[in-house]
Amino acid sequence: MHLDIKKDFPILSKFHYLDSAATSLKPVSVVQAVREYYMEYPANVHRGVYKLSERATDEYEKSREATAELFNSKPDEVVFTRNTTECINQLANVFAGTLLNKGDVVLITEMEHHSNLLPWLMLKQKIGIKVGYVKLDGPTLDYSDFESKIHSLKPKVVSFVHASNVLGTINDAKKILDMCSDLGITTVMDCAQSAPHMRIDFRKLGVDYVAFSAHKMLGPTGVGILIGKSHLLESLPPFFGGGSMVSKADLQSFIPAEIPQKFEAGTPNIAGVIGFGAAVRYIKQIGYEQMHRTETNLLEHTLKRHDEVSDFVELHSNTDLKNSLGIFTFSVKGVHPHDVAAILDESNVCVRGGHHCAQPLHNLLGADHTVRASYYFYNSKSDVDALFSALQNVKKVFSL
Amino acid sequence: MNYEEFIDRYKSLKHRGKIEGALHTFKSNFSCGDSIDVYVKVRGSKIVDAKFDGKGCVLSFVSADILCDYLMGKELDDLCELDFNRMVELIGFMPSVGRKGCVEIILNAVKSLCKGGAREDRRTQD
Repeated sequence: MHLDIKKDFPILSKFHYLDSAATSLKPVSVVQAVREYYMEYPANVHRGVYKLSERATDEYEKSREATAELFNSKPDEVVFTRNTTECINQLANVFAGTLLNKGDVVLITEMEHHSNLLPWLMLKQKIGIKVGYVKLDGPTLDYSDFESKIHSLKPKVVSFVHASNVLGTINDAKKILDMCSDLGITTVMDCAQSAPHMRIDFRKLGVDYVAFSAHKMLGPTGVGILIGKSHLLESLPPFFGGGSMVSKADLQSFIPAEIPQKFEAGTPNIAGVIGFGAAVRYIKQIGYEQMHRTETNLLEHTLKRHDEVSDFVELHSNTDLKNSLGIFTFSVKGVHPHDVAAILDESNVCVRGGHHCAQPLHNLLGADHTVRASYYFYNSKSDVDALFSALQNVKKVFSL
Repeated sequence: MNYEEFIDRYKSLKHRGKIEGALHTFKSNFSCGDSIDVYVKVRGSKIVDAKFDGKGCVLSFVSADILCDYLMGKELDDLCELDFNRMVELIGFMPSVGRKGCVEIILNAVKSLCKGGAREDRRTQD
């Protein structure tokens, strides 16, 4: 099926949208799916036996099946939450007192987004776990440090970012998971940045849990996805108590529902999940291979164009085309990232300025904050050229 | 915001610096990682000097410079009356929602001086 990308993302005719690592644009088909739910069958799910409710339940569950198929998992292993952050927080919360107790170690990396740092630091405060960090070796992880810490710190949980939202680096998940296998370590992957751009084969990787967000991969905001091995999900306590998550309740006790309903208390984001189903279908039509080709070409073009401005633009992100997302993180010497972003905005170039919710990583980079341009398959070389043209305006305004 | 208008002032800020022994406070903007130190020298009850330093963008530094200008000769207790609308009047335009924090950081720092939160040289952080 031929897809007319520019027609599917009409906003691209007005803006050079280079902030997809923050949130992606949504194709027309996703917006239509959300609209259709609200206009044609706006009923609750898993409740009524009337036609509207049954259609809502059917469409909601079809999204779960489509997600499971894309990630090679079983539908009952797919749990819908609000976002990646909620997925990891809820895992940390239910691990406390069950899998993790005082003194136990959770090993993460120095590359983490706050979503895979703060939940563990909160657990450190709450029950006294220890948090260990795998060092960086330039823009990549130091895998020998990883291996050494797995043996010396004996972590109960290894939780790592699959791809960095700042550096663009794609970590070698297989290598890390192989290191953890047979040691009884619970593994968690923060796939917020990777899932939109590359195929993640849950079954083949052998990871215990992956977490990602719908809104970064063409879907609506307010939907997170946690995929967990079914026998592990069955062993966890529910995240929340309330409607939908229970099979039997009396005034003294309750029996939780089966997975995945056990983790989806209350009315979920029905429209969002249905919209995400449309997003998954769109991704399948495009194909990860085509996405990767386009994004790699854009990064390659960016690095060439960077050579022209390297006297005032300092590059921070990974330049290894084989192991990087389409992310270009940089600083303009002597100019605050907000000022850079605001001047680029005058040319309708949308980039992010700040620490991108990764302050410890910025400390390691020696930068308080940076500017980030992040690409998706719908971007083109003209967007990259607009970025570099607008950077010349920054040079002019600040007399660099 | 017109950068060309602000940039000249940014390049020659009048109040950037530190005042030893003055009232001092510190605020940060978590969303962008910026921070600002404010020093206010008071004689009797009147402000006779004001300076700021820290990490910030053009808008936050120029807003700080303009506010320091405004503070000269004011009573310390007048600081409690400052609000965002007054800041908008002083800088001459309404910042967009994404840049509101760049203006608020200096406003919040200065206002904290009249609340008794940092009336000596010690650090407080949001």
